[in-house]
Amino acid sequence: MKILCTRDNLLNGVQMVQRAVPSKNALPILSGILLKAQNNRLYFTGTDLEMGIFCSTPVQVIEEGSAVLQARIFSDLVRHLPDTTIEMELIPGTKTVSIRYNPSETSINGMDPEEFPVIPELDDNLTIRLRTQIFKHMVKQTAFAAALDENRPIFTGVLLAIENSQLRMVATDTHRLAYKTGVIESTFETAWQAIVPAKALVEVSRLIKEEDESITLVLTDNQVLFRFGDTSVVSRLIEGQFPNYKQVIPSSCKTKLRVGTKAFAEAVERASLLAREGSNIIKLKIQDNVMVITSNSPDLGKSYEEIDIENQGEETQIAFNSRYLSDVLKVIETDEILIELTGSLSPGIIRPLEAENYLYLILPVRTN
Amino acid sequence: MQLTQALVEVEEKLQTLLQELRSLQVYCRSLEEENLRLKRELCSFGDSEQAKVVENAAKIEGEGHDNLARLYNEGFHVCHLHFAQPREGDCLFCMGFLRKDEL
Repeated sequence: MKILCTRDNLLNGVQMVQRAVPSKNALPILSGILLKAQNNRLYFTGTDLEMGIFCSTPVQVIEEGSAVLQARIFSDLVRHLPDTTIEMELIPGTKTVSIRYNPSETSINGMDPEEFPVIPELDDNLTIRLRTQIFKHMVKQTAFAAALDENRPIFTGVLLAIENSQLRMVATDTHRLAYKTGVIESTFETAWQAIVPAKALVEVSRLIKEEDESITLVLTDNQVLFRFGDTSVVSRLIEGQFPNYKQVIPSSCKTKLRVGTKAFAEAVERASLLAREGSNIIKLKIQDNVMVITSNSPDLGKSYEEIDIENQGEETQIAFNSRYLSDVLKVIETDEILIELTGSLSPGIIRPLEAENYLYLILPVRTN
Repeated sequence: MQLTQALVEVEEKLQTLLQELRSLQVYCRSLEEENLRLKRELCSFGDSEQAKVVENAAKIEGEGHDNLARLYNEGFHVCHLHFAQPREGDCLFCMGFLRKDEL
């Protein structure tokens, strides 16, 4: 392998794929980045076997070939390279790559590219395409609600489902649930669903650049591939059956109120400071046209917040874990939200005003 | 010669198939008869007996729901995903399940 390239070429590729390289792993080869020079492009691959990231960049290929370099040292070197033409060459008969930037040179001992896991190519027969902006929004508004507990793998994922030519994302940790729909560009008639690790979705969302306009999802039985710009991310799917989320969404409510997102979010933030540690309980008392938010921590003190609301239903009281509330208030972008409640034991629903495509369900905390 | 041999083989196969068909016919007839008998039996139950069955079913269902609700209140999941596992805090799916039962 021998190529001529610039520092930016390398930096972009390395920074992209490095996100998939595991920080510690029993398999030494996975701590490397696979570099492959072919057709005047340099292809980068990094993987932890759960997720793989590939991307490519145009370079001048003098001799095709591939090499595997330690991700940590290679990326640190690339970051510090001078802004000049860089020549990279795999020394024939060795695994060492020599990186030359006149008049200096650094040689890095690599690993055998043959040992690098082959990431299977996916057939393009089942694909959906949507705008990256929509995709990013959907991930932002759902993925945070997934569970972190690896003992319950299904809930560490986000359900991606296609129904009525719309993509749905649903995430839950059984205490709260986020649901979002988005328009897809390609027509897609068959019903399809899969559980994608939330981590992979967040990573894809992070890797999408502003100039990438659309993202393509390629689906198979056990893997999903995201393609955008020069980059592809492949992730395994989580096996299992996602529980029936439709069953848990209440269809009616007794209290329906409208409140300013910012005022509510700020009040919740302040009240949460004085919520009892561990349970983070804050109480909401909904009256005719005001909502009183209180919290009490015997050691620290107590908080009383009052904000104006527009209530169209019964007066009620309810207690929530403040973290679950502030999580959703951070991702809602409308100025006002609707809160729907039915007594102090049934789940509450939060939706952005005049946006049918998002719903957040939150279970109250029993306080007595 | 080969052709004759082949024909003989075909004949043998046909015969075994025919035998199988006959035994199936007998079996089918017996099933039909039983079905008819059961249907007659079912019709002979009076309204009072039917009401008793319905009532019993409702009772069992009610008891089942109460048992599940109790199990949930004692701190265990009743949703099918984590059935009987200890729970921390309320679970949306258990509550959804118990609520659906009430409808």
